Amino acid sequence: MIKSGQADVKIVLLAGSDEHQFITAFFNLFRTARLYDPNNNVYLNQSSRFYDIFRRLADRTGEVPVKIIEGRVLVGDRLVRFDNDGLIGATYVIDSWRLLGIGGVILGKNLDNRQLDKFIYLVAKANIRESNNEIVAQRLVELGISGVTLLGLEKREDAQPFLPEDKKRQLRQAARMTFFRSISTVEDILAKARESREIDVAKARRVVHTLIDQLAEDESYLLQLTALRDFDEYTYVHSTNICVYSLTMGIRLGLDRQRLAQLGFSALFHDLGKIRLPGDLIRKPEVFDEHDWIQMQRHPELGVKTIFRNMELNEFAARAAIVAYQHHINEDFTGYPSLRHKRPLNLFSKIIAIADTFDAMASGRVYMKRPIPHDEILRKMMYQMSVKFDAFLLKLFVNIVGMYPPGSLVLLTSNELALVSQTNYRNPQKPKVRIIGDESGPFQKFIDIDLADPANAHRRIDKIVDPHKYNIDTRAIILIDD
Amino acid sequence: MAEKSDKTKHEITQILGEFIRVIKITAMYPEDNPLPRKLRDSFTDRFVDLVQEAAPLLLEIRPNEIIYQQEVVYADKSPEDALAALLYKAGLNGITLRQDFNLEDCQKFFSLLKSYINKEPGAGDLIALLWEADLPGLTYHTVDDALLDEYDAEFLSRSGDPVRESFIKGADDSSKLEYAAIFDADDAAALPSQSDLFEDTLAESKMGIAPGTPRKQKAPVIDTARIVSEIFNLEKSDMARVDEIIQEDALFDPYQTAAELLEEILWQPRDFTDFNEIVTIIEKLQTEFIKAGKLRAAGRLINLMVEYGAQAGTDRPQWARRLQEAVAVAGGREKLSVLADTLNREKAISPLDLSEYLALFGWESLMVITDLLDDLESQVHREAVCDFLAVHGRDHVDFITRAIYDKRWYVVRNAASILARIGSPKALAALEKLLTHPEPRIRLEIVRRLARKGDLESRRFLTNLVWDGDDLICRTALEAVIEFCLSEGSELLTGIINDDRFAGLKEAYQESIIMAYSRTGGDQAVEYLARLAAAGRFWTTQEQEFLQRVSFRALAVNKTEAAEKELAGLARSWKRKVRNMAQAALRHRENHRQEAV
Repeated sequence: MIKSGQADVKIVLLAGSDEHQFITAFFNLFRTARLYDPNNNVYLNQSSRFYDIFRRLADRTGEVPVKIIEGRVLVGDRLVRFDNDGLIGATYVIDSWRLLGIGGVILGKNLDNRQLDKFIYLVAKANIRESNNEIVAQRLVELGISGVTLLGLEKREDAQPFLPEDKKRQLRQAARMTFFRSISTVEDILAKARESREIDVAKARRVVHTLIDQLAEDESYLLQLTALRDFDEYTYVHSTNICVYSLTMGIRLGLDRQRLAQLGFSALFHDLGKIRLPGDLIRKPEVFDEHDWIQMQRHPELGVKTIFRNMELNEFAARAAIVAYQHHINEDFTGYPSLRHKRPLNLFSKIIAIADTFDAMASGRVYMKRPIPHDEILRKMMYQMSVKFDAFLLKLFVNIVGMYPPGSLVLLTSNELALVSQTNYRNPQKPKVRIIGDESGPFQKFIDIDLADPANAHRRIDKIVDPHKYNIDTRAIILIDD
Repeated sequence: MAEKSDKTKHEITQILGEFIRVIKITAMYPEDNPLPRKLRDSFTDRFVDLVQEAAPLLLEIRPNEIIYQQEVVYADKSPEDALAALLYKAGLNGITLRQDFNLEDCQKFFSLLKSYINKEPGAGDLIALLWEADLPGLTYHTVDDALLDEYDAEFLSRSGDPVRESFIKGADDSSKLEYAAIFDADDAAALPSQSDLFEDTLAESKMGIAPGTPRKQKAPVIDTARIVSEIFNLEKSDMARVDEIIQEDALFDPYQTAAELLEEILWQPRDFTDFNEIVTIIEKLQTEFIKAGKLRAAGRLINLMVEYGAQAGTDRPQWARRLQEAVAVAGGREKLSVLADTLNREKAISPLDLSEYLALFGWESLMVITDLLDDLESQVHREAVCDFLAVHGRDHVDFITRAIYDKRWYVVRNAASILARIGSPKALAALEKLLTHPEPRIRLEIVRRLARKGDLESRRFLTNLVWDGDDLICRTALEAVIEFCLSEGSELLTGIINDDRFAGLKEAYQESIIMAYSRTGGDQAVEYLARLAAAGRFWTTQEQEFLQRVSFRALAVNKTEAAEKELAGLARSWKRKVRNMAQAALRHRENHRQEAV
């Protein structure tokens, strides 16, 4: 055990390939069970393969516990780190189990194939509104499934596995490098596109790949960095932010790697058309007048032309073009540009439209000319602009950024000023924060705490603080390492 | 230990040395052929064994060599066999293979390298392929990663910064006052003012924010708790929605999408420069559609330009002309040559799609389309183009006729094929010029094409080829004529029999003709056959004897009464041979009658 900050931390081992293979197959089996009946060959083949993997593991370790703690999956005492394909099944199952009140299962050594299939179908088909873990446990008994033990949702005070501090630091550092490299790459690509030179698609894809890999590890660091908006060339930061938000949504939706890469690519280039607008217009500090708006509303069409002119046509280019064109059209087709045929919006366009609106309003650099606090943005998007967005995707987005998005400055009831570092999906009102000061002044050493920790019961978020009003440079806080 | 290391290095050298060669050999055969599969499996087995023994296997990739444990284990020998150069140019400068690099991973790795080397569609970026494959036991390092390590540290963390107050901008007294105001519960700045919220109504309207809250109202309470409780948690119905979304998105078609987008932006230009740019883009994409074998999508773009051109009409003649040019270019030599390359690469493109695409172009493209035949490798595609030209070239036979004077035999053959398909008097008149062409493959093509046509004129033309010196041509023409005559009458056969060259035909052919004539010629045929039967009073030539024998066989199958009578008369002949042949013929007729009964 080592001590770090306020909490004891247990060092957790990372899962090896056996555990990784096991959990990926396990989660995929649940998803398959939702779509096919138990006699279907697709399910039978997957089940048979999974059972072989389970048997190998069980023969080595005895029973196989699978626990979900704060969205992280452990097999035994080993933390599973997912690649994107594994994340597809994981995210889905984690959420489903949470809704049923299931915090994990223990698969007994003597569990046979039939019992396993019964268990899978029982949970996969459970009606979330009518079931909970007790009902599911009761059904296990009724069905004679003795080889499976259900675990309830673990409370926070139980020993929670964290990543070691140096690993966290590495991830933070990697997130920063990836983020700023993305900004730099976008700048480079757009500069060349401005000169009508070919767009370096491979370079853009590399950046997107790195962002995806980073988000798959831990999305919170990159999401935190989206709060850094104080740059001279906002366009590049904005594109990177949209990319981060969009990819996070794409991962939650379970898009495969190829489509995630296309989504990220489309996000990077959604505003490509702006390079053909006057720079003075883009950088204009005052509010736009009607004439400015008319010019600005050309950028979707200009984006399509630039993409088609400068890129070879393939899925990436086509996706990027449709997003460039559609991201301001709105779900109710009241946006721009006007359409000859009102076709359903592309999925990526819908995702990026949400991310784009949020970031544009949060930055105060493009449309509103003043940054708007996150909660106000969410309120506007949910209530005043709701018909503009896909309702489900908007919900997903809010789920990601949370009530207090990473990078938000908040005042705690303990009269401490803090920066939100990570959303707590189980308890959105109590994220992880970094306390940076109190009324006596800024702290010499920042303190990282988890508001959901009972030890911090005396601390709640009182209000969101607009850093611009109080001349606070959140960038300085986000980029500081201890 | 050193010995083991040397052994490993030697094995690595061997494996890397064989890599490209194995890929090239497997690429030469169809996927399901056991030979390449066996070769691949043997190679990948050895590769995996090597990795298992030596993992982690770190290979550094340089422009022309690969390094393992600071030693060169592979060096490129020739441009055709340059694995290091290939990987380095793709952007890789290192590969690490770990213990869990298993056979499945290895085969996937092999497969994607093969796709990359063979430049298969969608396999142009090796690093993207590796990333998408996400092989657990393989890590790759790129040139970009190396650059990242030296990345400008300006944005990196500022660890150890003792000045923690740096997050307060300015750090002067007024800044400190502002900081202190954060903790002041009554600070007016903490609450949004009315004017702040509604400052930019134009922006709000452009962004679609509903003008729900009038200016004079008190600023709304920021009720984020309501947001959280209403929408934060995803429910089961949301999970079902995820599945729907994923399945809908899987139907995305880049070509259809591009075509739809082009349609949208084509209707939005503000001036000719703008419009011209869009048309140029359409032309570019049209070529890409063709390269990808998406003829329907390519055709859609042509239709789009034609439709818009018709609408632009007299109002915008410059725009209409620009579109006409674009369509003409699309049906021109350069673009159709791209089409030919694609058809040769993608043999599965359907003839129907091809015909529909060619039908978009006017008669001006007929010559070029005829030339297209020269380049097509697939018989199916050539047939489709010929059929197309037969239909669309009917009123423009002159264009096709020009090709019959070409020096290249296959060009002449193609033209002949088309003319034969057209079969109009003008086309047949042109074909006549080819009856004496020295190249038999041309004449054979004419025969085969005309034989498929069921009309009299084509069959009449075929009678010209009954006299061809090439036996296959002669026989094919004859069979076609006979087949026609058996259902349509004997007129053509009469012409052949009366021709001076009849006797010069092979006996088997003469017999076929006579037999067919007997079956179809009725009483008229009996008259002729009787003359043949009675040939020579005292002596006969060999030829006469042959014809005599054939005539009795022919009379045996002639269904008329006249034939019966003639045979009855001949059965009483004083010449025993004639008498016997007549009786045999009568018996044949009787047997045939009884069988019919």
